[in-house]
Amino acid sequence: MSIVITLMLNGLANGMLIFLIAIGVSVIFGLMGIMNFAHGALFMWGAYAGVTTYLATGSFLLGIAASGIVSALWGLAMERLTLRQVYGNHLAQILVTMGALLVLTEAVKAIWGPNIITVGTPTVLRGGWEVGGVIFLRYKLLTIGIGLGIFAGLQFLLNRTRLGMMIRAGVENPEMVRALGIRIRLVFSLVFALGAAVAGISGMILAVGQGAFGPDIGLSNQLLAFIVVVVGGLGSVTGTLIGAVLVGVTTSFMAYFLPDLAMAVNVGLMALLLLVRPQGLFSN
Amino acid sequence: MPLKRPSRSSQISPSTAIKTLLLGAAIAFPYLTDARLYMVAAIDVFIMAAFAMSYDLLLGFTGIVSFGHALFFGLGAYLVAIVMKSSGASWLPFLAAVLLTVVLAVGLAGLIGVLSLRVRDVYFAMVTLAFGELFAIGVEKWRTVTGGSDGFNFRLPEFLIDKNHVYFLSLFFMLASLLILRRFVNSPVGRVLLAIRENEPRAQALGYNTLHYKQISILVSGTVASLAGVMWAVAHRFVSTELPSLNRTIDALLMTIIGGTGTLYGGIVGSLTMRVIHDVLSGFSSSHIIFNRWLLIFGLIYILIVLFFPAGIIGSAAKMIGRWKERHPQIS
Amino acid sequence: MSSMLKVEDLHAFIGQFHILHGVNLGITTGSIAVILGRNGAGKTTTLRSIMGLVPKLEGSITFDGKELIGLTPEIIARLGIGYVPEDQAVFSSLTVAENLRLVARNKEARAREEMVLELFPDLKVAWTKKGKALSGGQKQMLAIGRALINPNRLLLIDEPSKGLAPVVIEKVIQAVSKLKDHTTVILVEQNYLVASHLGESYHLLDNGRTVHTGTMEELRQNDDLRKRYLAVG
Ligand SMILES: Nc1ncnc2c1ncn2[C@@H]1O[C@H](COP(=O)(O)OP(=O)(O)O)[C@@H](O)[C@H]1O
Ligand SMILES: [Mg+2]
Repeated sequence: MSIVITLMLNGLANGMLIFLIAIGVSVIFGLMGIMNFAHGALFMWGAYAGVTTYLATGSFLLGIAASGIVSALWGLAMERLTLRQVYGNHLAQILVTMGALLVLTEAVKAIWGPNIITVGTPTVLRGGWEVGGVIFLRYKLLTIGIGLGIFAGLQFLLNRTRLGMMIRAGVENPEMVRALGIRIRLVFSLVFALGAAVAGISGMILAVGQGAFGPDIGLSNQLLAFIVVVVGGLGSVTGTLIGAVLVGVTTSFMAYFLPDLAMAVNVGLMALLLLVRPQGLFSN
Repeated sequence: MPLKRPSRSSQISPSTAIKTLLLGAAIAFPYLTDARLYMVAAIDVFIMAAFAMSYDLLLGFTGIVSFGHALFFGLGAYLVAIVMKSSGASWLPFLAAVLLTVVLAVGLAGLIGVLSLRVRDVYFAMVTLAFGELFAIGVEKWRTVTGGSDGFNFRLPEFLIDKNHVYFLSLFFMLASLLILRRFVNSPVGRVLLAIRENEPRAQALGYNTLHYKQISILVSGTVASLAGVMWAVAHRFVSTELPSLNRTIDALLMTIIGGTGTLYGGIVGSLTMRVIHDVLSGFSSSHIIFNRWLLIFGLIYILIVLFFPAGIIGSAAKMIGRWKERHPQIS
Repeated sequence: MSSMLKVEDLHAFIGQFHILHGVNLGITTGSIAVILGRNGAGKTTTLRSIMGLVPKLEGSITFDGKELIGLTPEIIARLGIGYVPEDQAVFSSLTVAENLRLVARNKEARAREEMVLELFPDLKVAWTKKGKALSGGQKQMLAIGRALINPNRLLLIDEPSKGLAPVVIEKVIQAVSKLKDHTTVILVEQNYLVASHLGESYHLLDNGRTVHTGTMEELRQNDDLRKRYLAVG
């Protein structure tokens, strides 16, 4: 029994990280109609920039900040320099974001090399407690905490601020938002940068949590994010959270019992959903 | 204009002449003295050209993007490799493996289509990516059969080991793919596909079940791609996890975009261009490590093409020739 | 009197369709001008063209002497033009309050909330309701109110009476007639009774062209014109 709870906790921590990647994919699609195939690369840049900063300065917090900032800058550059040229052209958007995935991934390999980088958890975040056979690892708890914190922040942003209103209105009817005098391009840029920053931060947290990572960290996690988005319903924040927890917990249990089939089960989950409810669990 | 009018009596258009010339060169190539050095590269160019053309059927003629095309390539390659490894080098199992490849490719393409086409076009890109990666992971993990990331060698019937034979077989395969795909895109089904690419709601309003047409396109494309994988396995007598990887799909994407989408020939031009540039850049890699990351350079070129020259090499050349002809109407 | 908005020989294209073939409008400051015409005459397309929502335009649209063609919708809106589209486009996941606050560009605009609520007391009642929970009349008031939050000098209103019950239409008429104190209005209306109640001048569109212009009084007396283009006696 205690192993089940431990695995649930692990799954929750995984799920929070996947949520942080997937939320950007979901909101960017909802608002701009763009499926960002480079989101995993932004996540990966967060991991590399954050860990590099952390290793150089010894400060985990500075690492987190660097991961968010660097990924946000890449996201902004991507949106401004490439996607802006092809708004409204869905095919070109897909093609451009895939190009960005390639370029950003190769750039990481050019700078950091293709090999695995190892990184240790800060001393204060090591270890944990055992209560009645259930293991509470500090780092996992921190991960869950940060995930919930960012979720709450996003909820606040979306529901309580004018930017949030613009985003929600833009998801519904971007043309009308423009006709009301709102500079939607600015909103697009902000959302892109924000989605990238959140993905970058989760990249950093995941990389340190794993202790070792390489350039394939981007694609595999992007895939999970896509599955979450299909399962949860595009553009839905709650759906994304629930989808992420579902995929996180599934992955955690599979990793314990049948690690080789973890991805197969997730893809199977997605396929099943596409068959029975193609609009996703929480789409309106 | 001082230029002389080409005589019309010969009845050979410049483009036919060029094609004949290129084909002649391709046939004569193995008999040139230094050819051995470049033979392997030429075979790869032919096979990848066919793979890229099958990709163009989706991207250029149907208007949908697959990020899992290498799944079919890997499927064909691994099926032949696994069957040949366990059965020995005779023809019957080889042909059976080819047949099985086609059957499985059709089945998989059908499944992917059913799952992804109903919702939104972008789901096709996502679902193909997911299935492609799943396949790649599966190949890597199922070590007992696939040899994991190391891959494995296998034997083939004697005839398929001669490099000249393989060369001509690959050339034939590329030309056959070109002809079949061209026949397909010029068929009534192909015309509907073009109408879908241009304006799907309108095609639907005209009473076409656009889903069916896209489905057919996916089936044809997947089949050709899987046969390209078979050819690759034949040419190398070795398979590894690199074959079903996303990078292989990206190769097809780059070739199609660089060559020119919606042209079929673009696949050939793109395949040749990429191989030549790749080999040249690799030659520089000792002078600066950036040349080791040639995909970075290709990626940037690719983005620029998508943004500013969406017609690619073939399309841009056609446009330039068209403009030139307009300015010089007296020359045919 | 000078024209605040002037549309000259406007041609609009959507895809391969040529939709407007020469629309001309001259709108005087402080008036309510009505655009009339059958279904499909091009009224909605004309308003959308003014807002910059039609990608391909030829001719000229000037607002206070400034050419609008080529400007983006957000810039046009910021010059002081409010738009109330045919389907109201109330944001269904936003509350009434949010629909209004979304568009408020500054403190001054926030202060105009009071003015809007005075004009449309119904909105106060529905203040915390989501857009999707509103009745047709409430949506219409919200859409008009939303266009008044910023101090716009010109309002484009597309068929506000469409699909509403007669009692509700009455309310809308009252509200629109009060707008005159605040802003200039271009009103698209198929309902001749509503139009003749509210409008001072009319522009008659047919097949994407302006075919007649004059004062509402002239239209009232011209039975023939009304029969020919509006199918009302
Ligand atoms: N997006 C569009 N695509 C094609 N035709 C359109 C489009 N929008 C409007 N039209 C056509 O343009 C004409 C004018 O439409 P509209 O401006 O909506 O007329 P009105 O508002 O006067 O009823 C109609 O014939 C309509 O069918
Ligand atoms: Mg209308």
